[in-house]
Amino acid sequence: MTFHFNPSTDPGFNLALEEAFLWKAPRGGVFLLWRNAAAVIVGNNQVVADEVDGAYATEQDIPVYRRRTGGGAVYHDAGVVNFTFVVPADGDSPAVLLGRLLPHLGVAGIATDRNDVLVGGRKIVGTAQALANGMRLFHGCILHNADLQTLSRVLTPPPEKLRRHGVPSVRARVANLVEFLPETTEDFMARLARACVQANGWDERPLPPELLADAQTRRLFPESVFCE
Amino acid sequence: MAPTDAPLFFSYATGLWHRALPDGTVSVGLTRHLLTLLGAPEFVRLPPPGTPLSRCVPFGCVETQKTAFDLSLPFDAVLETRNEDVLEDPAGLDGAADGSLPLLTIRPAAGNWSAGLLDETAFRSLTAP
Repeated sequence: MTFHFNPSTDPGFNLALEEAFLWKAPRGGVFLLWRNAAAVIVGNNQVVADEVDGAYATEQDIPVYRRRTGGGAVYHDAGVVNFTFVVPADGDSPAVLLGRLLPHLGVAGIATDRNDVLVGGRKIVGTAQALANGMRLFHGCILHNADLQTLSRVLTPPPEKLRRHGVPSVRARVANLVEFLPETTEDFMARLARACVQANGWDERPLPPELLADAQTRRLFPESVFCE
Repeated sequence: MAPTDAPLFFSYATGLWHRALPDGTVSVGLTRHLLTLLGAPEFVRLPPPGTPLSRCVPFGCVETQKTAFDLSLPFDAVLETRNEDVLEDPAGLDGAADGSLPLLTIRPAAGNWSAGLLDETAFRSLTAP
């Protein structure tokens, strides 16, 4: 497996880069580490207006992007560290992949049957997947030092009497990893990368130029936050 | 969508089984092999009847526990009917045998729609553990 650090914080580009790896990853698989600027990322089959406070998102200039994987809406900012595995679909399960990461978070986290990670009963890692091209894209976000106030506000949609047909988010109590292990997010990312590479024998490499070009061409654009 | 004795044809890439129906349409469903990889379906998204479906272009999605899989056909067709019961409650797909519970019926654009698909023997051989 190769490890790639993605320095871009553009959500539209980063989601497109994941997609590029899904279609062109080597059989041995890849692991990516990356962050986004402030954004909401909704699941493949969610209705944005059911998941997001559109007025607040607009007021705070928080764009909403739709990812390929399933699951619920998440909030990303510079305090959220994202990871992505792209591996053969019939290879290691998400639980096994998460097991390669979990020991290096620096805290005693517990993986749930939904492949989330809890510390002290609060969620610090959420994950989701997509299958395509015989490959599995398994990714997640680690709440390291996220703005939890904004997270809570933007992911609380206005009350509606009628919920449209889509996949609802599963709300959970969340926490930042920094509460348990004080360090900067940059230091955390560097430590996590080093530990994962050493423990798993991954090969650290720069991002392939052809996939960077592909991602630039296929860059995603934000979703509308209001119903049509 | 009554089952027939017509043979099943499979597409490994799209994760679908296909069976010809007497009226010239084809019933289509998710293979057990795909469902084993995905897990129990929780949500299915399909376009309305009458929608043209292009070969290898995603037209819908199946979502299991936080896992999404785009649906596409290995040939051009038009969506004829949807299994509304399955749309309402996809859980019944879990454990369904190949050919037993279709997601939709389609009308292929060409008569030789099964050319290039795998027959049951070839599919079982390809997907054997």
